[in-house]
Amino acid sequence: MRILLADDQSLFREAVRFALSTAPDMEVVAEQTDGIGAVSEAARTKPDVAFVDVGLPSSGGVEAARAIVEAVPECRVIVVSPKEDERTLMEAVMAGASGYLTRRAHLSELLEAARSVHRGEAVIPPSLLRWLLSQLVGLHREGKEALARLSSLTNRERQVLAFLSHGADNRAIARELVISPETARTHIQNVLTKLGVHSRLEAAAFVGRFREVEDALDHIVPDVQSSRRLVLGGPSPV
Amino acid sequence: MAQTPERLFEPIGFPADEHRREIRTLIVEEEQLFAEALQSALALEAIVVERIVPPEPGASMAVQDSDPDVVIVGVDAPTPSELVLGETILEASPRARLLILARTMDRSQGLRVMRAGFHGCLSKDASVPRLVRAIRAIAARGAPSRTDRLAHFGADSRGRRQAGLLRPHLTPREYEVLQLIATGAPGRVIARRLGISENTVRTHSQSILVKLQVHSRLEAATLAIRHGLVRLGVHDEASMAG
Repeated sequence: MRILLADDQSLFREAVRFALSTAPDMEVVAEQTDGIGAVSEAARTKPDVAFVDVGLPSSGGVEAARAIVEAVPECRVIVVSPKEDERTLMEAVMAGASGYLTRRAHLSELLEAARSVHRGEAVIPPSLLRWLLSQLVGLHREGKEALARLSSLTNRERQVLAFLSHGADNRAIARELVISPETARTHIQNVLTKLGVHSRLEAAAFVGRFREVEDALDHIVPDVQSSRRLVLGGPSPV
Repeated sequence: MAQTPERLFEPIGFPADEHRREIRTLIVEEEQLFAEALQSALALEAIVVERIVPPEPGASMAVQDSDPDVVIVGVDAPTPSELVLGETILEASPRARLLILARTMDRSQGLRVMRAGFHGCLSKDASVPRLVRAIRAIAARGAPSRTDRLAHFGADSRGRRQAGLLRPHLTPREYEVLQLIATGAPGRVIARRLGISENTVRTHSQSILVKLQVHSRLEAATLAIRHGLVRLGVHDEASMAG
């Protein structure tokens, strides 16, 4: 298994390299000290597994993980964090990382994590698994509810909402859809009622949050086609 | 082999056979992964990490129990609050030798750590060979020097002597000047010894004071002696070695 180590602390990196070299099935093929370097080195060496420190300079570990997954889809990324942190875990998972490990783990766990993700498994600390699952269930429910409300909109109302979510005012919406400002107002009022929000700003936030949730679910369960495009299709306002 | 005056003041090194002597260490570190990786890397250098303990009050007991050659204490930054545990370990085991390993550290912090009575301070950005050298240097300084006339003068309350980690901050020439300062030689004598002008000696001295963060040549001398940067009054040993 070919491994990339991205960590800006040289003593840690060097020591881990020594430790990995004692495992017969592992070979460190690249080492990097910053995010941008890690991504280009991953693209060049195409490692099987990349350990990416969350605090990498120049881009941050999560962004580096995302870019590595994009550039080298077959590379499995494990984000390494100083200590257990739910937010970092969620970000790492959403960035497409296959594993999350803290520096408080044992060395044997590091080796096992590399083997697990290489086999296609996910590595999440058991202590955070319950939290992560509840988050995902919550996201899923939120997504479903939002989808139900969005589905109740007429085509015209969806178009209006799409403009709203980009900050267009009544006049602009009326002009773009070639309707009277009064009609635009009526549509907007209906959209607010159906979404259960109180202002145009809240409506825009609703769409933003829905996209976020769908993106997250897309990342974690890529096989389930998101129906977002269906719902929020139509002309994309510039 | 001719004996030059400078040779009398060579820093304390360690005998050739010291390089492979097995050294027993204990690591106090929050990041288990880092500590175990170090354990694995140091094993190749005959440095045995016997225990890894978290930075909690129990660490002090662990040090007393296993009585290692060198204690490695990982900290975030060598600030007074982070060094409290190290102090506690030293209080409980006055003979323990501590190497502070800091995630972030600047030069003045490093010097402060040395002055606080720890035996070494290294950044986690160092290389493994550098860490190995530091551990070996600290371990080798275990045997008390027989002829250290001024030890009692400069020694701190714990009577420990430290070296090595201050030295890299000085240029070789500054280092020579410092050694002569520590003998109490006036600028005129130092200039003659080194074959340089008195003005140059003054420049070197000034730069030494700045680097060691002290205010007088006397302070520089005592600091150097306390940290084992210079060796005094060992004509007999030097002659035998030569």
